[in-house]
Amino acid sequence: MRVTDHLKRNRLSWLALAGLFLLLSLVIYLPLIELFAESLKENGRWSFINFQRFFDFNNPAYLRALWGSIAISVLTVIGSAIVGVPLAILFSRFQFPGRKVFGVLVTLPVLLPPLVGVLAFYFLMGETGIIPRVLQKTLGLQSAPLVMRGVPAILLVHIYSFYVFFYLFARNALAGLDRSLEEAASGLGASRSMLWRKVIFPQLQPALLGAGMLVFMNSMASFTAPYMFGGAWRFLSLEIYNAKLNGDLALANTQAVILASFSLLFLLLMRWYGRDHPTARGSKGVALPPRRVTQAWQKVLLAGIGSVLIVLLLLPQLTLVLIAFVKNGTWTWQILPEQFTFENFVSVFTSRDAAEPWRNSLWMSALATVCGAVVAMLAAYFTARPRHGRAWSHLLDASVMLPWAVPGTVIAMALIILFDEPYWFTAGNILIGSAAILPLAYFIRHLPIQFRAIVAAFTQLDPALEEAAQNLGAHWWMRFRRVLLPLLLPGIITGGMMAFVIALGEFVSSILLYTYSNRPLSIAIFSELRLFNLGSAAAYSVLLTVLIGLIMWLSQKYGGDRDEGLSG
Amino acid sequence: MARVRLESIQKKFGAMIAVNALTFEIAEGEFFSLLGPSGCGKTTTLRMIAGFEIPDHGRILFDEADVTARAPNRRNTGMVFQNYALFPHLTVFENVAFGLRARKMPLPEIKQQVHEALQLVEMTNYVERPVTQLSGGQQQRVALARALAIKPSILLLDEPLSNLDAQLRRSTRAELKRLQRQLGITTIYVTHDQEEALALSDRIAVLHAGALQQIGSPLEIYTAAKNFFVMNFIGTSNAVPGKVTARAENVLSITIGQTQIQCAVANASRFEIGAAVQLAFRPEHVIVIRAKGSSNDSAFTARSTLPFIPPQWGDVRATPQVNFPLEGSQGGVADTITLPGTWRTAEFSGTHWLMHFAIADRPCSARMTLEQAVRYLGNDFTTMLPGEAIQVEIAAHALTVFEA
Repeated sequence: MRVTDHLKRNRLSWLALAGLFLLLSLVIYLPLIELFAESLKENGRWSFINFQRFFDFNNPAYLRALWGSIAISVLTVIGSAIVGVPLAILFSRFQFPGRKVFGVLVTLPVLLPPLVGVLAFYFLMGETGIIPRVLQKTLGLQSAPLVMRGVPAILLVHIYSFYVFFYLFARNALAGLDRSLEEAASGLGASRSMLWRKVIFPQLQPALLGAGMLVFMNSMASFTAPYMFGGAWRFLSLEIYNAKLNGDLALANTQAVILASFSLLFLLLMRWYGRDHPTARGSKGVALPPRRVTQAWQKVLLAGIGSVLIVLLLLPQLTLVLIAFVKNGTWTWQILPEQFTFENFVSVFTSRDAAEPWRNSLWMSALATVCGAVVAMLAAYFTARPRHGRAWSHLLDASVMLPWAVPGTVIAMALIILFDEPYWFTAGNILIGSAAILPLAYFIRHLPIQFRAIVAAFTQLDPALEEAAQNLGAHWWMRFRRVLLPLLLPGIITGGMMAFVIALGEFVSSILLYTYSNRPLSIAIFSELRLFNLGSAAAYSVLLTVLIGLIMWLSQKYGGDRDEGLSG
Repeated sequence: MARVRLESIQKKFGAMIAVNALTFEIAEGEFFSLLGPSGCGKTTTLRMIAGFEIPDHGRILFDEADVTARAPNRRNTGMVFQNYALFPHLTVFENVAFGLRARKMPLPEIKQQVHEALQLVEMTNYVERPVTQLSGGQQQRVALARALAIKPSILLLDEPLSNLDAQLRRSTRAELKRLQRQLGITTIYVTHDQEEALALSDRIAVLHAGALQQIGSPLEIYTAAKNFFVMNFIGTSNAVPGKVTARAENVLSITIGQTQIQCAVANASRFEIGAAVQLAFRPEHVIVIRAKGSSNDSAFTARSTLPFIPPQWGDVRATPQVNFPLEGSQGGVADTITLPGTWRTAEFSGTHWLMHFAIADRPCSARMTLEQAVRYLGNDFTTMLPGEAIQVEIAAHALTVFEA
C-alpha cells in the first residue's frame, strides 16, 4: 500500500512533466534540429556543401553579411552604452526639476514595436523625411542633408530602442550599490575619479555585461531596421529573408543555423565570463537620496539636457501622429504634408479590409498568450519546485528559454522547414500557409517572457504555503485554484500582457510566415507603406502604440509587483 | 488523538544522511519535543511525519495505521509552520476555514468551527481582517487556529515561536502549553531552543547529526545526559580532558594535567586503562577558591576557617523522582573534587557572577553568587589578575565522565 500511494501521487506529476517535454520537443527542439539537419543536406544527402558555400573566401558575399551583423551589433552595444549609462547616472544620482517625468519617458522606446520605431525614423529622417526636406528648403541646398540611410540609420534606430537596456540595468545596479563602500573609499582618500574607476564601475560591471549581452543579441537578431535602411549593406538576418524569398531554402537554412549558432555562442560566452566576475551583493548599505543640484546654472544645464532628450525621444512619435492624419497620396513633393484627414483612423472601424489585420493580430496574439500562460505556468512550477530532481528542472528551464536566445528569423525558418509537411501531432495538417502557424510562432517566441515572469512570481512565493494547504487536506486542484493561482496571478498577468503586446506588433517572423488571410498588423503597416499609403501606415502605428500603452498601463495597475507575501 | 510511532527511519538527501535509524514512540496526548541544533534532522523528521518527505527506510505509524507513504492531505495532521505560512490573499476567516473547505463541510458548520478555533486563541475579533494586517503574534495565533480547526489527530509545530520577540515568546509558550493540556492533543514540537523544550515538553528527543542522542523527560535530559553533546546542548557545560590511569569496580583514577583524581562512575568497566576521557560538569556545580593571603581584602580568610558552602545543585535535588546515576559519595571518594586552575575574568550576568578560568588550559566557567564570590575569592575578586592560581572545587556527584 505504502509504495503505491507514493507512486500514485507522483505519477500525475511525472505525466505532466513528460507531456511538457514532449510539447517543447515538438515545437522548439524538433524545428531547430530539422533546421540544422536540413542545412547539412544537399538533395537529400548529407553534405557540407551549404556551409562551404557560406564560408567561401573567394566569394565572401555571405561572410560579409555575417561580418555586417556582428559589426552593427558591436557598434550598437557601444552606442547604447554611451547613451544609456550616463543617463542612468544622471537619473539615479542627481535631483533636478522634471526628473520624475523624464525618468518615465526615457524608458518609452522599449515599449514600441520595432517596426513602429523604424517607421517613425523613416518619416522623420529617411530619404523623404521631414527634417531633410525642411533643411533642404530653408538652406536652399541641391540635395537633402542629414538623410539617414545605411549603417548610421540602422545604428540610430538600434540605439534609440536598445539604450533602454543599459539605462535600466545600470540604474538598477546603481540603486543596489552599497554606499558605505563609496564612503569607505572616500574616507581612505580616494579622489572622485578613482572612486568611479576603482569602486563604482567594477560593481556595475555585471549589470553592464548583462545589458551588453541583451543589446548584442537583439541587434544580431534585428531584422526591421536593416530591412528598411540596409541599402547595399548585407546583414545575416536580412540575407535569410532574401534567400527564402528567392526560393533558396538551403541557403536560408544554413544562414539561419549560423546566425543561431553565433547568438547561442555569444550567450554561452557571456554566461561563462559572468560566472568568473561575481559581485558582493546583499549589503545593507542605505541608498542615499540623489544629490540635489543647487546652483542655478547646473539646474538649467540638467533641465536643458532633459528637455533636449524628451524632444529627441518624442520627435519620432510626434512625426508618426502627424503623418497619421495625412490624406493618403497627398504628400509627395511638398515639404510638409498639406492635406489632413481623419479618414485613416475611421477606416479601421468602417472598412472590412482595414479592420481585418486588427482582428487577426488580436486573436492570434491572444491565442498565443493564453497557450503561453498555461505552458509557462506548468514549466515555471516544475522549475521553481524541482520535485523530480534539479537536473530535470534545469533542463526544462534551458528548453523554455532557448527561443529567447534564437533570433525570430531563425525560429520562423525552422517552422517553415519542419511544418511544410503533415504530422500526426498536427492532426495531419500542413501548418505552413495555415492560420495556425503565426500563433504558434508567437507562442514559441514569447514563451520565455511569460515563463520568466511566472518564475519570478514563484520565487516570491513561500513553498510552505502549498505545504500548509496540503497539510490542511487540500488535494492538488484545490491547492492550485485557491493558493497558487491567486498568488501567481500578478506574474501571469504581467508576463501575459508583455507577450501579448509584443505579439501584436511582431514583424520579424510574421513576414516570413504570414498569408494574406491571416496578415497581422505589422504586415498591414508594411504593405500600406509599400503602396505609399503613408497616412494609413502611420495610423495603424499610432493606434497600435496607443493600444500597447493602454495595455501596459492596465498591466501595471493589476499585475506586477504587488508584494503581499507574509514571509520575511 | 493518536499515538505516533517511528520505526528505524532513515532519510538521505543525496549523499547526506539527514536522519538515521530513528526509532521512538509518542504516547497519546503527549507533548513531545524534537530538540537539536540546526541541521540535526529534527525538521526533516517532522516533515516525514507530516508527509512532505518520504523516508528511505523504516515505517511511520499513527496508532496501528502505516502512514509512511500516505499523502500529506490524507494524514489529518495540523501543522504550524515556522513562518506561519498564512495565505496572504485570504482573510483570517478564510485561512482558518481552508482545511474545513477542503473537507467539503457545509458552510454553517464551517462558521461554527472557525469560531471555536478562533475562540481558543482569542482571535474572534479579527475574523474579517486580511492576515497581512496582523502582527506577528496575531499571525501565530491564526496559524495555530487554522491547524486546530480541522480537529487534527496530531499537532505538528515547527519552531512556531522563533519569529516572536523574547517577551511574546514566553507568554505564547505558556498559552501553548495550556491549550495543549486543555485539548489533550498529541503534539510534536520542533525547536533548537533548549529552554523552550524543557519548559513545554513531557518528553524530549535530542537529535544530533541525524541520530537520536537521548530521549527522556526534561529532568532526565538535564540532569543525566547520556553523552557530552546532550550535556553541552542542554544548558552549558565545561569539559576537561583526562586519561584513565586505574580503575576499581565503581571508581576511576584519572589524570588531568599534573593532577590525579578519584571519581565515582556507575559503570567503570566500560573505560579501558589509558583511555582518553572528558570530565564534564556544569558551571553551577563548581566554585573557585583563592589561596589564603592572596587577597587585599583584610577580612578574607579563605575557606579553611569558614564553613564550606556547598555548590548549588540547582533545584534538581528537591525533585524526588530523579535518579542520579552518581548518587553522593561512594567507596571512599570525596564529596568534592579539587583541581588546580588559572584565573581569567569575572563577568556579571544579572543574578550571578560567571567566573572564567582554565583547567589544563581548557576554558571553564563557574556560576557563583555574590556571597560565594566574596567568601571564596575576597571582595576584590573583580580586580583579580588573569593568570593567578586558584583552586577549583567540583561537586563529585555532578561530575560526569564521557569517553573522549
